[in-house]
Amino acid sequence: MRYAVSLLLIFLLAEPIAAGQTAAADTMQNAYASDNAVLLDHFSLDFRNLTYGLVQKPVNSALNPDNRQEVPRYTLASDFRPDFAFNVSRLNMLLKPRFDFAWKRCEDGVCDGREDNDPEYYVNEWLVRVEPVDSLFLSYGRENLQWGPSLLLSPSNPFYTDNGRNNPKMEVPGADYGRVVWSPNIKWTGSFIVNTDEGRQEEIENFDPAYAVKIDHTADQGYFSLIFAKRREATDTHLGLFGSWNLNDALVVYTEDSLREGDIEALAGGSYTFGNGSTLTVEYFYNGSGNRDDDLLDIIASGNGPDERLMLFRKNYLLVQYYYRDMFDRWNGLLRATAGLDDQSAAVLGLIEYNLGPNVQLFATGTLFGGDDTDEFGSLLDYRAMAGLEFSF
Amino acid sequence: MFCSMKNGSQNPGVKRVLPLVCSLLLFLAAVCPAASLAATPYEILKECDEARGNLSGITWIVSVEALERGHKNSRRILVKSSGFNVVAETLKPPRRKGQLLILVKGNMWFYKPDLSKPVPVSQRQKLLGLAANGDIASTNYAEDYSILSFEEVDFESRACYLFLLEAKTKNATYSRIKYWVSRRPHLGIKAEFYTARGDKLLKSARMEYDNRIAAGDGERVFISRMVIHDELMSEDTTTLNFSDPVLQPIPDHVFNLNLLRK
Repeated sequence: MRYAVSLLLIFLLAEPIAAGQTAAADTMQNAYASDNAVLLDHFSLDFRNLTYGLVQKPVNSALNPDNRQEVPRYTLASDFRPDFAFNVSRLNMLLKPRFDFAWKRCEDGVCDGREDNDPEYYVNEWLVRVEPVDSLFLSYGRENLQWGPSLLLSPSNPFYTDNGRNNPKMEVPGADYGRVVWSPNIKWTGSFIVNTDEGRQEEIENFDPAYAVKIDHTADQGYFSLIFAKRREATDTHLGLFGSWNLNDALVVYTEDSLREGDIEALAGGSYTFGNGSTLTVEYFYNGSGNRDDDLLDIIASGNGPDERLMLFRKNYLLVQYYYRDMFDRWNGLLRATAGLDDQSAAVLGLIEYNLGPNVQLFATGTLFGGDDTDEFGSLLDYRAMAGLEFSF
Repeated sequence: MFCSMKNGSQNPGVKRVLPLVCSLLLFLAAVCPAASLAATPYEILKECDEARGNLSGITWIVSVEALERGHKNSRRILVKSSGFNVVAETLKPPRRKGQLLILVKGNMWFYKPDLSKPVPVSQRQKLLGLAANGDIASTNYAEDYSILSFEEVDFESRACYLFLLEAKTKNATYSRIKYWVSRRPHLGIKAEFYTARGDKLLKSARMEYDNRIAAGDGERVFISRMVIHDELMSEDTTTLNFSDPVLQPIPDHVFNLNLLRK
């Protein structure tokens, strides 16, 4: 196997490296230097560091009685996020190791007074992709595989519907996928995807491998996708779709939907850009399998909620977001309200970013959760506030 | 056809003059092809579009410098374009490195490394300063706009055509454009962008063409600089410098959302 992989790498690297050698092959030394230079040309490293403090107040509720989920009150952390990439004409490789250093202090419930400072090292994403023939791509790796236009969640995604928007500074954990992508022209793309392991999506219990076929069509002023998926042990298939339309130069409308086990999940949204460049987005989400009245704990205990989702178990949700990017190229501001229309609970998120220089950004984000401790948004946290610096090199 | 007129052959005076006239016409046709085949307004716009990126495959670097209320900001962007499909990757400053703007068949997406997926955006969203996302993409005035009027004018001592253009669809970046095009070669040198009703001037742009690209059919002229002025309420200006244009095939998968190099 190792021999086969080596042969494949030699085949994929041979063409560009040979091309680079031609100009400077007078001596062995020059050729060696040229090889290194050519290889370096295809290598890139982006480095980010997020250093922040976080304060959050857990709610004593049926979902988290006496803080059994051990939610810390205070966190000081520094996350190092290097992204390595190596690209030649028919080979792309990606590696995103993560080094997270955090000090956490719990002040509520069962963990009151406990401090924790275990560092974490892991690979959140890695990928090897080859193009053995024109327009055909084979890849395997740990990816944060996301698609679709919506902000609240991605119901069309059969693998993982959380797109990380409830905390914009935190990375979505990657899972393991094999993909075959065929892109014969600009209009059509077909993909066969296998989700082989939950990877870092450790909160998913009883992982079941899944298979999906995805067909994408790019039309004039519109984009559409159909997804057929099945988990290995499941009896029903998952049908997902999404589409977006550019109605004019300022307005984009979209939908993202799924049908599984006879239940429909439908999201409709629109995004309007004002003359000053700011954007207003509104989304409505209907969760066919959701429950309007029952106790949240009963819903979760019954296992009726979607496996790959941690929340949004009710039926009707509304999201409104206003985003102003690059005010004087220094400020970004975001205000997002997400409301559960059935139990009338809500989460309001605000984010401010200030660019201190070409490499540094100051940020502060806060979320207020409203509702009773039996309501969805009111049952886990009272508030969460986070502030810090993001360095990029 | 003119040279073989039968009536003319019966007159000895015409017989003598005819070869001279034919020779003169052939000479003119050889040295001035444009004079013998006058381009239509549509063809003139199309030529202008080609000098602003509408080619089968081209990469270039755009350096954007914005002066907004006294603040100076800059950005460096690698643009890959094939026809009107564009991928623009921010190279500098480091905090924006890796941000992608993808324009395919009139659909536009924005991706940045800390977003988990590309999100659809409208062409109106600004890039930096006065430059909209649509400004770094190839222009498609020939297809996206109707010609309301077309006249020959002098502009700053240059012989020009003045086009009044109106967007055919609501998806175009600008609703109405006054467009000054030099008569030889056909290059857009000034544009004024108006509101949909055409009564309010929003911003104006001046273009220069000092880039040359070696192509199979000779040398091509390519845009080198575009300066955008706010005409509404400030002295703000945004300058786009276009450099290092290289003609090269851009495969379709470069514009594919499923295959983005994150």
